[in-house]
Amino acid sequence: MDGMKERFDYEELITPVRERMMRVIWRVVRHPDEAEDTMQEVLSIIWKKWDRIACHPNPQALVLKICINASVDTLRRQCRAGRFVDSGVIDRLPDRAAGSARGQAETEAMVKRAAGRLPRKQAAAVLMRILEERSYKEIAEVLGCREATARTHVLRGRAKLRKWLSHLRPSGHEEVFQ
Amino acid sequence: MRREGEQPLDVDGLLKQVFPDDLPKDTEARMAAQLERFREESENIRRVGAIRVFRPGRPYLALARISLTAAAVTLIVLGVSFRPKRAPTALASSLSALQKAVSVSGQLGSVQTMECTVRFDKAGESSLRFVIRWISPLETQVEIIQAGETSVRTIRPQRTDESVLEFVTGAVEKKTRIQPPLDAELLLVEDLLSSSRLRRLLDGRWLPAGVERMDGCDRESFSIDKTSGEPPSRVIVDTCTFLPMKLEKELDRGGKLEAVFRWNPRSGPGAGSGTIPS
Repeated sequence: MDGMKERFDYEELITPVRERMMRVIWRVVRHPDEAEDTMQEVLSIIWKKWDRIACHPNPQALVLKICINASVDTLRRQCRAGRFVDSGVIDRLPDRAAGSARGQAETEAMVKRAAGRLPRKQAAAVLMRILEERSYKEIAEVLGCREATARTHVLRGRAKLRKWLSHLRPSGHEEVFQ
Repeated sequence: MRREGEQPLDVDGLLKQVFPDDLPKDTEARMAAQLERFREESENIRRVGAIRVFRPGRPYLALARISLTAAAVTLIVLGVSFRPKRAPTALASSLSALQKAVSVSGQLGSVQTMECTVRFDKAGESSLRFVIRWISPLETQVEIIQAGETSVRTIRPQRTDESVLEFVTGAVEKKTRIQPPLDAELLLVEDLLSSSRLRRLLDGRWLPAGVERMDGCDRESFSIDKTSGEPPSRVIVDTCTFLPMKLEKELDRGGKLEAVFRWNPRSGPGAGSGTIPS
């Protein structure tokens, strides 16, 4: 630990984004134990990179980026392991999807797998834009890029998801999904 | 491509339904507890850090690195600059002198012919000059020049095949005898009458006394301290041939000997036939 960590100010840098951190992790991970593990990983990264975070022009944005990246990593691990245990989501799926031959749990798994398949920056941009309804300016700050680039990330991420999940339309053609 | 009449897939709606904002209270409480623990631990560390001894932060570390680098470069430059000028250490000098002494002793064992001019001076007496020629290992010719008169003596040293151990321990002295018994003049130069006698004379502790730079080979002078308490000798050695070029010696009985050597080392089977270049 060096001198910068001695000036660690939790109230100033973490408290403002505390609620958002918990919510974004839960929305992506959706499993109590894995959400806790992800939070632990996030706090570990924050502690290791505290110097960078403290010197960052928008430290809260950087903290959120760490949360989203860690959550997407957990989502990818879930995809690889085939663990989608949020049974409550089945009730929330649209009727047409629920009425398909696959079933709601399978549909949920496909959506999660599609989100986890996105490149990291596109996944973060799409999740922030769609789930958190953040502005492109905020997304750009979190990703550390220009606003136009953030917009492109969201656009491309949406297009890929639309393509990969096209078979979920009522009479859409199914694409082979790896 | 969409079929006619199909609705576009509502990706946003699908994602919101799969990833709803419904953080359960118990999970929220557990994550909040994690954050609280993190806050407490970080605050503790900050308090400990506040009373801790100063530790340099990043700018100070950079400054320290620069200072250390500058100091290291300075030391290297100083080391390189002073290295050629620095006098060799006593140990290095001692080892070098010992190496020269051993080399000279070894070379003396391999030569058979030599001519040296010796001058003996003593206060209140007329000077004596000798020309000593090692004709062969068993024959030495000595010219004694005194008051313009020259007399020649032929000496036949007893052949000794002393080993290095015998030489070092002094056993060689007992075996080397000059026949017939020497008269008073020859006793002055008895240590120059054979190679084994000369080696015995040069035995002692060699101390560097200076170097004379030559074009080809340097000439290095040494002071030889005798362990027996005799007065020290001074010898100048050719660093190419490792043979003595000049010898100065104070005698116990008073007076000073100065010998200048011309060597004709054995170079082949017939080289030791006694011919000495004039």
